[in-house]
Amino acid sequence: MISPAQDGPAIELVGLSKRFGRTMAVNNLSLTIPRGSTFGLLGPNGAGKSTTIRMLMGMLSFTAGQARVLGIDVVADAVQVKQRVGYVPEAHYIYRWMRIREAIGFCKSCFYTWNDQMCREMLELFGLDAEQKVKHLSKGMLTKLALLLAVSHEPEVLLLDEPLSGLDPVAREEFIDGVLRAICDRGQTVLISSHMLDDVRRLADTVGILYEGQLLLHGNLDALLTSTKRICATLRDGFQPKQTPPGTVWQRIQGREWTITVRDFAPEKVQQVQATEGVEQVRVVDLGLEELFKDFVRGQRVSP
Amino acid sequence: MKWLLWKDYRQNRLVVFAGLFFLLAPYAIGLWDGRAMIYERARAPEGRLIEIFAIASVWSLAISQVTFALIGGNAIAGERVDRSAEFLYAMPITRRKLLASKIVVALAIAAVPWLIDAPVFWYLANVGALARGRLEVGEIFAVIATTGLIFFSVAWVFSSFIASPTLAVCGGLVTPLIPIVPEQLGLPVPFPATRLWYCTICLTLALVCFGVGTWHYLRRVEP
Amino acid sequence: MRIDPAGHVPIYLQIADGIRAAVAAGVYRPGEVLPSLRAMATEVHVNPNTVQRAYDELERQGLIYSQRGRGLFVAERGDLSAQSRAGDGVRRTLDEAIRAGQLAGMTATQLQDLFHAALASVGQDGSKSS
Repeated sequence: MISPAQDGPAIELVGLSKRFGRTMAVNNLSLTIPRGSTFGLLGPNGAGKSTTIRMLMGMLSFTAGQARVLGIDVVADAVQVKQRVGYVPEAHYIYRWMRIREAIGFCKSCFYTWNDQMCREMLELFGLDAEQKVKHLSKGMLTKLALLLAVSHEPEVLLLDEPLSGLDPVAREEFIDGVLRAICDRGQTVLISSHMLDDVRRLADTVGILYEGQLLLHGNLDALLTSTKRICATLRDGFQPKQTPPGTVWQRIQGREWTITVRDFAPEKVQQVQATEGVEQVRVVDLGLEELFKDFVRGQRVSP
Repeated sequence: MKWLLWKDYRQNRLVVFAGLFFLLAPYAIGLWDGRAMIYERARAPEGRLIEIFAIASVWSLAISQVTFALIGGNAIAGERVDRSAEFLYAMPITRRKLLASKIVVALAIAAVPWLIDAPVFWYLANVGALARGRLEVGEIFAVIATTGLIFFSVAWVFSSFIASPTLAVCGGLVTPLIPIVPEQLGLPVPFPATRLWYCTICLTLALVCFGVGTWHYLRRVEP
Repeated sequence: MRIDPAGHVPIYLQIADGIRAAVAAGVYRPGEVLPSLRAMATEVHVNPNTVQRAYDELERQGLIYSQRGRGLFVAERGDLSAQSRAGDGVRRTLDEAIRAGQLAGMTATQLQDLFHAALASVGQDGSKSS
């Protein structure tokens, strides 16, 4: 099949919005994910991650905006999108009365391409018994089955919606292995939303933080971690700083300690803090992904 | 398509069993009722036996229309209540194909009583002398058929809009009462309470409901 | 090789350091082929693009070279280069430890004493005595 744009981005959101009643679950979201990259979609519960992914799959109507997957407009031709995308939802509703081999047969009949060998290999890798009924599967096995079904038709894009929630550490590792194999073998584009920041750190090369339907930041993960730092300053008694350096994401004063998280770090910002009246000692600390995430979200909750 | 049909059959398996029960129960009752006569074939008046089974076949056909309500109510709402629609709608299958599969399975289940009871009745009617005339029997069949259609269609339109198969089925079963009850209560009705009017109203309503239900199903994005 | 996803050191640098340490320890010898991208990615459970970045970094530093179609190999002077570059990784760990000590309010002298004590207790082969 010739796709309309072989070189275009894998996923393109333009001003995407979704309203539920009076809440904007997704608010004017614009994002481009290039082919071959792995994008980690982070955000607190209710930020709109699942809503966005469901809209990409054509399973939720849009209030406004456009979404294109592999150049195909989701609203115009959702079925074509589903042919070329592998989707692992947060909650699994595969027919409980089906056996695993029947679920595989059912899915296989829907897709143009199906890789039998990969399917068999993954069954073995995940330790799934083809004769077992879906209703007897644990959450971990169900998630692995969902990944197997999503990946076996050789999609170009993988959408993973909180796939790791509720899984024990071994099942998580097996799932990640499965995803890594797919990336290694076919250079797929992957969008994964998860709270397991360690796993996102391993898998993703780009991240975005969603908060109340809007993107707080997005970019290359390593670059973000390098360019966002915490400045810890000790204050003299009684002094309250009045100014923060540009690009402050979050700040906190606890006793004599003043902590500021800044993005787009530059030495001038440290100097500015040092020059602030009442500041005694200044140290710079690097951040891990979890701290970065927390500081950005906390910064949003404090500001109006 | 083969997998889709099998899936729709499996989803409606309980309905099939219920349908089989409705189909066979009147015959079983008839057998029980006429068991003495079957034992004493030599002395039993054959006409009575024929009459019992002829009545059984009509009852079977009538009660089997309830199956039609069950199918209609379960068709769309059934996959919403167990949320298997979420899995199905993530698959690259057009809504039209899903609809076609549902309708094929519904027709197949609904056809069975007609294919069994109608010929049985016809055969018995030709063999024995019946108390009622052919035309009247034809009218009774028409009433049964249109009642079945209204059961299905109203259940279908409910099923398309709400997520409760039970409510959808009840909605379907209750609707034929609407033209009947006011007249039975002695209230004035705008039309003569004949079988023809009943059939016409039911048929029209059935077509409208089926159309609306189908249109909404095809248009709806969310599972 | 253990990757720490919770820390702030970029993962590709952690992988590069890990490979460098392995070369310095003789796990991979000069002229030998390194694990493929796929093998390394699945072994350390990391995106292959990140592993690629680590390999690119090592190639840039001259520790490894690529032969088209045959993979990545440890350079001839690789083991010596690795040992000298291993200092980079150690230095990073030391920087962190010093920062932690400073946050705790330790003086430079106290930190030095601590370092000497640690050096004495961790034996030549890397094991801890007592």
